[in-house]
Amino acid sequence: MGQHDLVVTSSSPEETRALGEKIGSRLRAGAVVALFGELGSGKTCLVQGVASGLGVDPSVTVNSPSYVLINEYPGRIPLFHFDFYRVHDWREVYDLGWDDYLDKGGVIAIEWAERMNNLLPEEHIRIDLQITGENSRSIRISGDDIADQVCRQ
Amino acid sequence: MKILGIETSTQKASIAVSDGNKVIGELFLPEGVSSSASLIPSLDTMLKREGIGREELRGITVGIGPGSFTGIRLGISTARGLSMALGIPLRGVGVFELLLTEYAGGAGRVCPLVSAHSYGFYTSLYEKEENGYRCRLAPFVCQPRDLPEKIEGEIFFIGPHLSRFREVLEKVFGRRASFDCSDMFPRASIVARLYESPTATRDEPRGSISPLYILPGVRVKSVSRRQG
Repeated sequence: MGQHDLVVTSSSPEETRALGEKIGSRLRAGAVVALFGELGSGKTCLVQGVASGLGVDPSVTVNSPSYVLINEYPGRIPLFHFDFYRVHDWREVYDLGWDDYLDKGGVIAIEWAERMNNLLPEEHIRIDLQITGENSRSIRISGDDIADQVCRQ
Repeated sequence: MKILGIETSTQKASIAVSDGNKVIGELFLPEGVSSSASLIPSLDTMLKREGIGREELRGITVGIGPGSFTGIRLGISTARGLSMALGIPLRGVGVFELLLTEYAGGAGRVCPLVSAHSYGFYTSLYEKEENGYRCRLAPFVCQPRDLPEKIEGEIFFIGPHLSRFREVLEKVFGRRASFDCSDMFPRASIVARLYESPTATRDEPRGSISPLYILPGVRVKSVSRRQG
């Protein structure tokens, strides 16, 4: 892990969401956020925060697109929310029209990014979520300068 | 024998009808407009303009990339639908074959390039032989800065997105690199004409023509020469 990594402890879904919002408010168009962590570790929760940080209409419910694989949310910067839990071959990522999303000028958030094989773009913000207790999570942010920016807050 | 060509692997999508080596008609789809909405209407427009009935078509060739994946999928599914509806054979050709066919120069070693978004570009290596160019490396994707470690010697670059990569390629290859100056891009008139090419893949069994999927970061493989 790099020297700019930031490790945050969250003790509730609300705190995870608030962290996501901080991250979202600092993201630029074209940013790719890759989330790693087991089921229930708070990936979707964090993306909900990212959505609100990006100015997605609060009345819109942000859900994990486990079955539909991709959700699109209009905002200050549009959010493209991918979930590759049900993807078992990187070719399916292409089949979703993945390469088009890279050029759409939005923020891309990916759950289960490990299923993408090498299709995860080199430049990305990596977020690792670890379950450390019933409600507590250890969240590590690495890559880009986003960790520094969130830290300074 | 009238052949329909469909090429959608770059922003400049096109359709064409050829008869032998002669191009009867070619039409470029409006750029920036979703090709999915304009492909079939454009086909009707072109056939009408040239006075060709759909029933006169004897085969279809489609570009299978690599390139814009969504575009290629659209081209292939349209081609597949037409092939089934009209009861005529479908064949596929890769984008590098198209560019090599279009290239009229005589460089010994040619790298065709097509943009691959943030992954860099898709490329391959072709070497000149007595009767044309022969593929030496299986298509791969890499960042421009990583290409010199994969390819030795002097290289001539061709392709539709050269201007985007030229500066960095000049930097990493130095004098080994030279560049095509024409505004070359894959086009449907060439796709149609390659119907009889030995490099065109047949749709046998039906449904086997699919986009070329290429994964970044995979070791570059040389194309083994067939013995005998």
